[in-house]
Amino acid sequence: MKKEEKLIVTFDTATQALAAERTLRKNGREGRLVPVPAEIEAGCGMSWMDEPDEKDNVTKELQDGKVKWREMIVQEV
Amino acid sequence: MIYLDNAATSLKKPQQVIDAVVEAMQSMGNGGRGAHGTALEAARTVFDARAKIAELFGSDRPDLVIFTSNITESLNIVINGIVNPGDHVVHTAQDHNSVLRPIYRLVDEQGVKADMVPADRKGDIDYADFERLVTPGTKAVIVSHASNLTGNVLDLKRISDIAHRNGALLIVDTAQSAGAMPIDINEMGIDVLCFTGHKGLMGPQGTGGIVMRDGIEIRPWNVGGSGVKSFDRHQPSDYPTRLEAGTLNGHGIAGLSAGIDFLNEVGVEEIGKKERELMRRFYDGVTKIPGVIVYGDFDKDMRGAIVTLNIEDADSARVSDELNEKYGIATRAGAHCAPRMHEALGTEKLGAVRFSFGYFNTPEEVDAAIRAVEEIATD
Repeated sequence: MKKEEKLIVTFDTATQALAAERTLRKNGREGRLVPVPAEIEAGCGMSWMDEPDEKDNVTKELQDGKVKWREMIVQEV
Repeated sequence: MIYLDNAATSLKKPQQVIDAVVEAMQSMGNGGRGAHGTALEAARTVFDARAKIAELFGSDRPDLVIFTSNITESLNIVINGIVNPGDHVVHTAQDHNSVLRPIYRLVDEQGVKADMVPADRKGDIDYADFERLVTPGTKAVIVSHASNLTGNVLDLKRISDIAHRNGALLIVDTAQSAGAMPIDINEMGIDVLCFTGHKGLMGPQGTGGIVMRDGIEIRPWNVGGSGVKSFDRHQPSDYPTRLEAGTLNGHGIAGLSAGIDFLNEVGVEEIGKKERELMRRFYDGVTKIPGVIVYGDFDKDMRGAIVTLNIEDADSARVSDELNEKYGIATRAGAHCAPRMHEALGTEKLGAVRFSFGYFNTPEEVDAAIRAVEEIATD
């Protein structure tokens, strides 16, 4: 599979991931929930995938929506 | 059949609840396990339900809404997860066995000290007893909001003021009040609220949960699959995952979510008003019948839609059976899992017959029940 650079936001619970999705969707964002890439965390769980240059906007929108996240990483997935 | 056992479960559910369960059973994957379409749809359904329940109880924290299989499980998780060996707790004679038995087990096995606020012959408690029994060092005050036997309702704000002044948490069982009267955890000072889904919230059986304020530490009872941090040896510490090991009852939660929609469409105040009007109609009718003894305090407007009675010294089980067999009226006899309240009322031998009213009952059904009681009483 061809790798692409993406912004990946991870969460401590599925509930945080769903809260993030609700907030980011409300703002018209086009990213989506995906399984956490194995390079970031072996195991299971959901993460938000978005474009790398959206990091600052995603950070601000999550902060404004009072949504917690664990990590925000830009990497090839 | 005339169903007057709504305190046990709301038999008649809004059609939208039934539709939501059927739809969920045809389409929902395992929410929180995976990120494919059906799993995500399930996770979104569960999250929506959390958000609605948080809002219903005055919270803005869906992550502090925990789903369980019923309120007994909620109370076991909360009481066992908060109270430590040697701690002191205060509860009341109004409490259901789902409050009493977790406390009694901790008393017998963990050296927990428990004091009970007593009730008088009308089932009322004296708030001065809370002042006397709750002291600095009391870990928690644990109460059933509305009695499942008398319908009497406690003033939670008053109790939380006493609890918080002494550094104790207020844990509340809302089995008989949620959905039938407004409850706001912040306005009332509730630290941990336990609810059931299948009574006033109009959802399916097998649903219940916990709503808590921020900063409350509850040890998990079950540990296991969490969908996140799978290589950690221990259950993740973040709520709600901390207290939700294993697959949730997603199909039931979809129904519960539709039940909350129904409550919001009609209005909790409106539902409670109608239920209490039916209860008053029945009370006014049966108290005119010679030989009928009604229990509880009917001087207060805000109460559960419950009328519990005996006919002279007749066995409550026989009266309830006669109502069922001859008149097709479903009531509940016996002890109602409320042993301390029956002792307070002096009904521990006879039990009592409980008539509990719901939003879908009608004045005609109430009148039929009054006539049935009258016939049995004069038989």
